[in-house]
Amino acid sequence: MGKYERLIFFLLLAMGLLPPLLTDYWERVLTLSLMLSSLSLAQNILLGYTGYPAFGCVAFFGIGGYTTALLMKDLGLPFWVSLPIGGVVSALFALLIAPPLMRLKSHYFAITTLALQLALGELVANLEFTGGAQGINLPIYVGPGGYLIFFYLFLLLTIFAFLLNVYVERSTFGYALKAIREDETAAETMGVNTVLFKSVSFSMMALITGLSGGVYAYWITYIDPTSMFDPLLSVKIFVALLLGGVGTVAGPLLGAFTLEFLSEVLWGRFPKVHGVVLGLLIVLIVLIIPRGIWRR
Amino acid sequence: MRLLEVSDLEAGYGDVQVLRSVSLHVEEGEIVAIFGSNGSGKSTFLKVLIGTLKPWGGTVKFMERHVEDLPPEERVKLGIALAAEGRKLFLGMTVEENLLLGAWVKKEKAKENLERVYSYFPELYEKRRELAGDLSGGQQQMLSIGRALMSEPKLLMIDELSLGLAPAVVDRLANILTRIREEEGISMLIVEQEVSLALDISDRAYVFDLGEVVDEGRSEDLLRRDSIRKTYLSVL
Repeated sequence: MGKYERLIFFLLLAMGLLPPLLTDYWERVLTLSLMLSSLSLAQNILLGYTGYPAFGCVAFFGIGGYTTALLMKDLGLPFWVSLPIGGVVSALFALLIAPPLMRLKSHYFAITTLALQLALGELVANLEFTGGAQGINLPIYVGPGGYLIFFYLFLLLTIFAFLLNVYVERSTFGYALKAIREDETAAETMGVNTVLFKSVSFSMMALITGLSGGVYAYWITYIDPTSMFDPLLSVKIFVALLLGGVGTVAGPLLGAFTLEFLSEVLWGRFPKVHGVVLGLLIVLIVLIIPRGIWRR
Repeated sequence: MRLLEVSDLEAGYGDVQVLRSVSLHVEEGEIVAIFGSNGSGKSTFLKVLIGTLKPWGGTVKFMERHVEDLPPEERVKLGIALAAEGRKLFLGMTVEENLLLGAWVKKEKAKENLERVYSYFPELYEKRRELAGDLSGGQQQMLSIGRALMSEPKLLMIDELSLGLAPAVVDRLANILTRIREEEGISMLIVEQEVSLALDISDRAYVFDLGEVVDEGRSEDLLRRDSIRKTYLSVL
C-alpha cells in the first residue's frame, strides 16, 4: 500500500471509534454513507478498472438481500451464516452470466444490466416463495451492540471493498483489468484471457454488492422488490462514483460520503425538490469535474 | 524449418468474405513482407494469425503444430506476437506498464526483457513513466513493437509499420528491426503499404489483392519486376 492508501485505511479503522460520540441520527447517516461507499467501491472495480458500467448493479444487491432473508426466514439459518451465502450466490450468479453478458460493451452493457435488475425485481414480485410484492419480514436484531452492529458491518464491508480496490490498483491481476479497460482487443493480443478476467471482475463487484444487500436487508428488517431492486440506488452509486473520481481507490469513498451528506442536508431543507437538486448535481459534475474530485 | 505455414485460408466478417484461399509461409529467421492496396485483406490476415478472428476454413501451422483453433493467449505462449495496426496501445497507462502487459505470458522474464527492449529503444526508457497517450507517433510505434517483443516471440508480426510516421523515423525503425533479426534470429511478418520500404527490408514478399495472393517472390526479384514497378512503385 502507498502513503495515501495507508492513510485512508487508518481513517476507516478510526471511524470505528466514532459511535460513542454520535447521536442516533448521525449514526444512521454514517451507516448509509458506508453502505454507499461499499457499493461504489464495488462498482469501481468493474467500471473504474475494467471499463464496464453495470448500471443495474443493484440486481446483485437484491440477490444478496433476498438470499440472506430467505435463508433466515425459511431455513431458520442464523444471519452470520446466511449473509456469506447470500454474497457467494450473488458472486456465482455474476460469474455464470458474465461470459455472454460481457460480450456487450459500454451503453449496451449498461442497459442490459439495468434490464436484468428490473426483470429480477418483477420476478421476485411475482413469485410465491419470495413473498411476492408483500415482501419479507425479518426478526429485529437484538444481540450485542444493538443497531450499532450494522454500522460496524458496513464499515467492515467498506474496508474489505477498499482493500480489494487497492489490490486491483497494484497487482498484475489489476493490470489485466486496466488493459481490458484501455483496449480489450489489444489485451487479448497480449495473451490476456479477457473473458476470464472481466468475468472475475464482474463477480467481485457482485460479491461486495450482494453482501451489502444482505446487511441492508437485516438492518431494515423488512424487504420488498421495490426497495431491494431500486433503480434510484443504481443512480446514486454512479453519481457517488463520478463525483468522487472513477478508477481511483479514494474517489468512491470521497464521492459516497460527500453525496450522502449533501443528500441529508438537501433532504432536510428541500424535501420536495430533492430529486431535482440531485439531477442538477449530476449535470454540474459532468460539466465542471467530469473526472471527479479525486482525479486519476 | 518452416516456422509458419498457412494453407488455403478463408476468412471474413459476417457474410462478407475477405480472404480467399490464402497460402503463405515464413521460414525461420526470415523477414516476409505483405503489401497491397487498402481493403486487400492484409490486416484481416494478421488478425486470423493472432487468433482474434476465427477463420472460415484452411489451416495455420506454427512450428509444425495446428494453431487455427487456439485462443490468442495460447498462440502468444507458443511465440506469435502482433504489433497491431493503429498501434492499439493502452493509452491511459504508462510506457512501462504497456511493456509489462506485453510480458503477460512471460512474467518471470519481464525484467530481463524490459532491459532488452530499452536497449533497442532508449527513448522508451527515458519516457517509461509517461503515459503512452502522450508519446509521439514514432515513439508509439516503438512502444507497440517493444511491447510485442516482451513475450519473446519467434514470429513478430507488424501491421502497418510506417503508417503516419516521418521518413526519418521509418528508416530508424527499419534499421532496428534488421538489427533485432540479426541479433536474435526472430522471424518477422510485416504488413506495409509503402512498397519500396517493404521490399527493402524483407527477404521475400507477397502481394495481396482483394483477399488473394496475386504475386509472391524474393523481394529483390519483385523490385525488378515490371508489373510491380508499374502498379506499386509508379515507375514507368
